[in-house]
Amino acid sequence: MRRLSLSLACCSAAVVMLGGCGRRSGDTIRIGVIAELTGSIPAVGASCRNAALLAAKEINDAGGIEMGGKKKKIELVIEDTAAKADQAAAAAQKAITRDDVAAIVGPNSSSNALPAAEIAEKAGVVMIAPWSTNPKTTLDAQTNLPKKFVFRACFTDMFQGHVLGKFAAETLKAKKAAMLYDVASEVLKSQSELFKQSFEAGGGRVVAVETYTTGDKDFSAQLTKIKKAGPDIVFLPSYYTDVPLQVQQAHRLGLKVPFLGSDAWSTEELIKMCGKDCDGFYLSNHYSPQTTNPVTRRFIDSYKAAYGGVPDDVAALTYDSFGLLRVALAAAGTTDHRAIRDALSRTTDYQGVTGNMRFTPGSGDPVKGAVILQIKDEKFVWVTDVQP
Amino acid sequence: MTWHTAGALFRDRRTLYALTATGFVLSWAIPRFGLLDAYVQLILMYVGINVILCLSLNLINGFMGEFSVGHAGFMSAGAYTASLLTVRVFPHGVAWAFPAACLAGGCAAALLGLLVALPSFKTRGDYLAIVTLAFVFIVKSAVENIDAVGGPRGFLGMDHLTTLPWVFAWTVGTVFVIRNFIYSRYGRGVLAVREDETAAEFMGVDTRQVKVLTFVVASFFAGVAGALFAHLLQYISPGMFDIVKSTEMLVMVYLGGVASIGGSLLGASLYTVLLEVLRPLAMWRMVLMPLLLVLLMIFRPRGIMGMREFPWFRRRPQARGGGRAAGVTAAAQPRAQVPILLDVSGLTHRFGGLTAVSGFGLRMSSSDLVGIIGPNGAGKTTVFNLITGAYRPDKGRILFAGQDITGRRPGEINAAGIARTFQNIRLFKDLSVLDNIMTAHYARSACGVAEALSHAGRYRADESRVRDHALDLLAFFEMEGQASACAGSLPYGLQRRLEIVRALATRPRLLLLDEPAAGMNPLEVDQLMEFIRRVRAEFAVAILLIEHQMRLVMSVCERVEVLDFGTTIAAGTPAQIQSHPRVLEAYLGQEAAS
Repeated sequence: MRRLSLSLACCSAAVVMLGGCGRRSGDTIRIGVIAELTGSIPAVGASCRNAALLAAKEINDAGGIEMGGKKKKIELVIEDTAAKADQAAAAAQKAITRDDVAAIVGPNSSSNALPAAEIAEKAGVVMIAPWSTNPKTTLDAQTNLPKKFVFRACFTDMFQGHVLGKFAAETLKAKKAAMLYDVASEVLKSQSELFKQSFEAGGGRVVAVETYTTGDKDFSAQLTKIKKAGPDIVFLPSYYTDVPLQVQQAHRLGLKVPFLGSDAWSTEELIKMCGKDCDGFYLSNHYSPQTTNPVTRRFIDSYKAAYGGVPDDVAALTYDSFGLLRVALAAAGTTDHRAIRDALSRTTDYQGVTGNMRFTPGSGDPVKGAVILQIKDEKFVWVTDVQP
Repeated sequence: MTWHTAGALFRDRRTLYALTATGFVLSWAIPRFGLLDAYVQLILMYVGINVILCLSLNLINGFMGEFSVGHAGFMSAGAYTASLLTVRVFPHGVAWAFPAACLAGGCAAALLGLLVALPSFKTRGDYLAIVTLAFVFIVKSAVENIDAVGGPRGFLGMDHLTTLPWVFAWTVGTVFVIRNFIYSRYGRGVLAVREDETAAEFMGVDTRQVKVLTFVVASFFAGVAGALFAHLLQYISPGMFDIVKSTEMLVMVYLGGVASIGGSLLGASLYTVLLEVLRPLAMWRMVLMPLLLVLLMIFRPRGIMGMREFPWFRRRPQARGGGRAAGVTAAAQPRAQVPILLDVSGLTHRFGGLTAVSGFGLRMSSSDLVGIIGPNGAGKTTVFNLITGAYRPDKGRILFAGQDITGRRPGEINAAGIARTFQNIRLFKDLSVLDNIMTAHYARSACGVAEALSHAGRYRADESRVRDHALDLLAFFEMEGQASACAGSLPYGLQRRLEIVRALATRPRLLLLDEPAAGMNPLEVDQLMEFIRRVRAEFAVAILLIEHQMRLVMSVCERVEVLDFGTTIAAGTPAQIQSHPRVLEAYLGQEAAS
């Protein structure tokens, strides 16, 4: 009986702690950082937290952000999601309800960002997901219209089609392009459509559009048709698992033009499986540590000085999320959620470490640059930054 | 308030009803008037969903004693089914859509539970764990490959339909139904499967039915929890329902306590709330929780409430029905007599190259008391196992009351009228004496599944009939005083006796006793002899017993069969056997015999 009562008492104590009063922010601007610190992708969470701490320190070292004639410092509320959707939602709800945050940065993976975005949107608090590329994160699930308070710092999967089309037309000066994509994937389909649009806007012409379905292993029919059309380049937004097979079959058929892909290619696995066949090909990515952009170089140096390693794309995008927020907070001059939202959506030219960014009214997806990498001697090499 | 009054409140069921009613009012009032902030409300809803998951997994892993890790898969099925219905099929904004979707999600999961349970009949322990582990992976990959539900990117578009009152209602409903299930004849079957599946089968428990039913009930509630979860987060993806999710549920079950409803409530609440309360620990939070579990396993391996129950959820002590029932002896339940009760002929059984029983034959009338003796390894217990259906004979035929029962399953043979005890006692040790006896009534219970889940209809009448009969049996053997004692805690002699009483509860016409006097002192053997004579006289059963105690065999049995190397080498009255040359040879060796 006594033990039972004791455990009941423990429970009530826990509930009381849960029920404790929230804090109100006063002299600081509280920003919630919701990251996958534990669980299946702790490296992502660590990069996000490191970059957040670095960004906050830089803002605070510079005196903070001016609000109502007073400089206010940034205070971070870092919460773990354990890479779980339910905990991401709880963390977001806690940051909003208990810690009264001005805005939220994170979560990074789309499976965590989506449920957190629902909470932020409902509460009317700005949330910037640094690394969530799922188009649905910033859209209202029922109406498919943009959410009002949810933004992201990365481009969506589809948006890369736009950047790549521009790069093919303007930098590579290609005149004729062919496309081969997985028709079963909605994302790859829209990516290809965007590529076609921007490539043709840049003066090129798409001469062949071929498709396949997930799981196909023989692409010779499609590749033969593409070869007949005689393109200068081939747009191939496949996942890295399909690319080696497709490229090797193309080379066997004598199709020897450069191929273009998306960030779905940006893994060492691709180079391992593809070998020399992929040499000279181009792909787009969020960011490259090899870039010559001075803003990016400065970030890389200070990150290295603080943590010893080269920042990855999550770190770069988290840093940019804070950069966007800093500008918006300064412009709003208040921690009022709606004012921050309005200021953020009016961002027209933010010089980020992952390229220049702007938001178009009514959309949480940035119009932003990308980096183009080339596979050279079995390594990814930075070629250029492409601005939209 | 003193401990005493607190305890009395705690034992009084009316407190539970009052709390439940208050809970319903609060679950409505809290969101309506914003009594608690949105964060606490969210956590409370997680607690409810986790209670449902934890309790339904406890049904399989705690009460039934299996090890399933398939709950994430069932949850996923429920979540996707319900979400598809509310988003694509049901009209939006109608009141019935959400409860209907939850039910449908539960049903879809239950159907999957059935599919998993059917081929898993024979798998227990590690094997069931592997089957259910594979199941979780299959569900995840299957959903990942269905583009219509978003594939690996997940499914969205659900309205925020999961509210505090709904979660509370489903949680209360789950506790109600699962508690009813446990305190029904199926529940006793579930516990018997955990204690000793083989013994349960010999006592007439349909273990297949019990296992499948338990799996279906448990997966139904996992599916409901999935539906609630999906409409709370408004987003689901196959990755959410991976093995990590199942592990989380396992942690809650073993934290709160196996085979305990109160334990599941406690485990799910503690785990969910602690995860939030410990947020300030940051990275150490996910280290502390598993550490807690390790410590718990060392100091309290069955969990905080392991195998115990809050007074509220215990079975209500029920008074005996209408006084003494009709009686338990044969005089009260006369049966038609048959000239030959058991007719075994040419029975042969081999284990690989070893012939354990060869051409064994035996005839018994319905009042015979026959002993089988023979040296160790003579094949005596194998004969028992063949007659009761544990083994299938390679050759030969077993007729019982004119019916061919060769090769039938133990449960069917028990139903035909043969009951047995075991060489090494196989009671349901963690169950009470009364429950041991009541479990043996499984086959003759009239209570259906729906009645067991709701405790409505014939449940009450059936339950009190079974209990009265069991109590009468105990009273007959002067064991009524031990009715609520734990069977494993009885002294050895009483355990032997209880096993015979349990066998008698299945109303056999033939009772097989496997070394009933093993390990007994001379005084206990004397009592046992008296007991056996009384059983035969009062219950009108034929008795076949294996025994090494010659004093018992020679004074109780009317006929003795001597077995050596799987064949009958002699048969006759005790006096004939004692001077039979082949018997002396088998027992004492060639020289002594000559």
